[in-house]
Amino acid sequence: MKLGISKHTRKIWAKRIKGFWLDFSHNTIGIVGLIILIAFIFVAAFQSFVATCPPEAVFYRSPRQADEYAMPEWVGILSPTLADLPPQTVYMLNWTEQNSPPPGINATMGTTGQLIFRYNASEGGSAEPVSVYLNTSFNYLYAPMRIFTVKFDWTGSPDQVTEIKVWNKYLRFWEVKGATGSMNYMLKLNLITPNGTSYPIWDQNWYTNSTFDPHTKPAFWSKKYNGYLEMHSNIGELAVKLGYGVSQPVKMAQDIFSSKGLYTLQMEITFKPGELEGITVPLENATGTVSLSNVKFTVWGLRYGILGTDGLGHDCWSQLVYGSRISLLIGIAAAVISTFMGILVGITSGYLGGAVDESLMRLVDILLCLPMLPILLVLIAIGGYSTFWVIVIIAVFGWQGLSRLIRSTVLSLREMTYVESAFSSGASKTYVMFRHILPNIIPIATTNLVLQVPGAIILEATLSFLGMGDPTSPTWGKMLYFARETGGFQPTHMAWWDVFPPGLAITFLCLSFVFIGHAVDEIVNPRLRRRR
Amino acid sequence: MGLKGYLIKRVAIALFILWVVITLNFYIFILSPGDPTHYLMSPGMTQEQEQLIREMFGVDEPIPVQYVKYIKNLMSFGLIPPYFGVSHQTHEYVTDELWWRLSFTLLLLGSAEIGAIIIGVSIGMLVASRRGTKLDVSVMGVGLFTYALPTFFIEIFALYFFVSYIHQTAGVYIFPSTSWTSYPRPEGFLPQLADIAWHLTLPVACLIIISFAYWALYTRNMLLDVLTQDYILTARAKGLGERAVLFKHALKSIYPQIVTMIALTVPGLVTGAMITETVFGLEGIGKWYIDSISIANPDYPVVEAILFIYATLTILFNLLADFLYGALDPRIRVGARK
Repeated sequence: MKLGISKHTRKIWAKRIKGFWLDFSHNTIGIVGLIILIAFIFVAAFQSFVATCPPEAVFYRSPRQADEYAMPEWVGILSPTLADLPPQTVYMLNWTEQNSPPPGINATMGTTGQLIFRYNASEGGSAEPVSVYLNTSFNYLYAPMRIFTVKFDWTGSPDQVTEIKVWNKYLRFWEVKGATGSMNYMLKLNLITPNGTSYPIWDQNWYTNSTFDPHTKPAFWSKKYNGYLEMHSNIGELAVKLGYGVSQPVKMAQDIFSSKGLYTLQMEITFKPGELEGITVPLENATGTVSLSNVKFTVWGLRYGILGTDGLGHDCWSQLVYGSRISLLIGIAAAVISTFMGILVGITSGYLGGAVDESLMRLVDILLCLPMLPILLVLIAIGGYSTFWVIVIIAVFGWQGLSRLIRSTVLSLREMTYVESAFSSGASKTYVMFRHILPNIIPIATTNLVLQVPGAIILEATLSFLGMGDPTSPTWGKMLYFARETGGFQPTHMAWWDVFPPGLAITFLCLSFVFIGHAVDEIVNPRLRRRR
Repeated sequence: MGLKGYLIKRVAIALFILWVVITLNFYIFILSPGDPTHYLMSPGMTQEQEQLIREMFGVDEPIPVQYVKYIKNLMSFGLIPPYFGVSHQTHEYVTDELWWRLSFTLLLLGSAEIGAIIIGVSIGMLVASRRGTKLDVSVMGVGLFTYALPTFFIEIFALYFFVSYIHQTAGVYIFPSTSWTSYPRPEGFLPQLADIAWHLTLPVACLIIISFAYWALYTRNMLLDVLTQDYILTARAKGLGERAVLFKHALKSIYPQIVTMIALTVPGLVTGAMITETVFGLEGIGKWYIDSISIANPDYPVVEAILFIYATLTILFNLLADFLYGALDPRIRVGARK
């Protein structure tokens, strides 16, 4: 017995494939399907170049890229109202001093771009607080956004009043004799609109004080050594601070940004000599620095990227691109596994016959009688939501039809005269199986393989859509699941950019396989062959 | 072996499959990690209280006893205690909710199936008599297209345009987007009926769109096979009109296949309704099943009861298809050969 592929066999196969391709290239539907499929494979292969965001960025716990349900950027060309919507913008703003610093404060520029204020109370000669005002402006020329974010960081040193302590030998405790080298400082941030209204959006007391009473006087001095602020306007507390209801942060932001023009962020830094338990630091010792980085002001866009964002603020285009690889992987892997199982069971059953055949066919009967989708859901709920498990169970429920078909083919092939003659000339069972039976199975298996893929893709998308998919992978079904969960097709959002692309992608990918399968079926199935 | 023996064998196999499914269903939940009532316990509870909770859900007994009780419970179809058990979520008997949910689901599916068959078969007949025309090609194209189109996508599409879009542009809901009935329900029988019909229009239309092309293609292919037969030629040679040939001769011989197909497609529809119910927010058994299984602590009594109903329906209709095919088609009558 020789199973190695000889040169002659290879020649025959090359000829067959060439002939197949010749037939296929004349089939318009098949070529259309192939072109669509190649486009999807291209996207899947070069997904990191085609997508605009890395895969981690579209994971549902990652930070958002723009506002929730931001429209695609290009909708601006459709109508002036849409062009008025703000795109995702980040302003990197540098502070400029509004007034020349009062005596006692020296301003210098740090190496990394931060502004450093040196405070020396003795230069000013008074213990009264002195302030420096910093300004930075940006032009905002769009309709009001829903959410904005202010971000900057600061350092103050020394952080607190350094105590001068003396060990009291007789009373055995440290006695505070004075303080040195210190100052207290205070930061306040206002947002000034083009028509001059000033909104006190933040001060250092606000969070440390943990009372959100807008009338709290800044009576406290900072004890913080350094800190950073990253404040999103959608926190309810800010709305309360500015006199809105706790659920009205969007209304607040829209009120603030209701006019177009030059908006100014104003920072007020106030210094005064430090204080400790009633002992004021002597003027000559009251020194320190406060450094302030430039400010990053983010306008969360209502227009973003190629396909906007979903209900979690993530880029739809990138999710669409990453979804193609997973769909192809799951579809093809499940189809290959189930076709392989179908061939194995079909050939074994048809070839061996007897009790093996009977038991395998009863197993097929049982599996065909099961309510498939509910059982898949149970298996996923029990076995976990991983891509691998989804592939396995889709494959396990997909081979029954093929195995029946192959069994009947094998049964009829076994009666063929050339098989009989092979046996009578002394060929072994294995040889006949591989040499004579298997080549006749391949056309059926190929058609089945291609036509199984869309079923598997749709099944996976359905599972994801029902919320039973792998939560870590961005699939098309999951995009639609999140769209449903976050109201993407409710009248409030109407997010066509989030709803239709994944659905159409599933449809077109499946359609490409259906077309190819149709063409392959027409070529390899002699019953369907048309006369030319 | 005669017809009787064949019947007995098929029923026995069907019962065996049903037993396999419900046993699997039982063991899957037994094998899944953790006590199913664990999440109901709080640290402050006494032993007696914990015992009471376990008794309430019947997980305090040894597994074989639980199994026997489980089988008895399912076999009674929830008509006698323990009424399919107590739901972990609502703490009510599963039966109470199950039957009205099932009746609504069956209403949805029944109307969709009947509509799809009527529309699909008539289009199939129309197309078969006009083979090769543009209509024929386009119906084939629609058939291929619906094969590639996910069910939920068509439904989302319908929801988007016929509910949300029209609400946004015209300010009215021409179709409701959720639930079986309006709240509060209208007075009187006829208004209530109209109300339910109004709520069912969109889901049923979607289900029909998904499945009619399948029926059309099936009928077309069956009829095309039949139309090449000799007796059709004879009928034509007798001078019968095309209409009479189609309705009196051809259609008659594909009845068995169509009736069998109806029985075979019902199980798929029943489970497929899960998606429709989820998209349209219809509280049928499909949505209940998904809601009960996709949570961190699956609601076992509900899942077990609904899966039992699904399995019963699937197996019953497969069996029915077997019988109908044998009974309606004289060529495949069992025992006739011997």
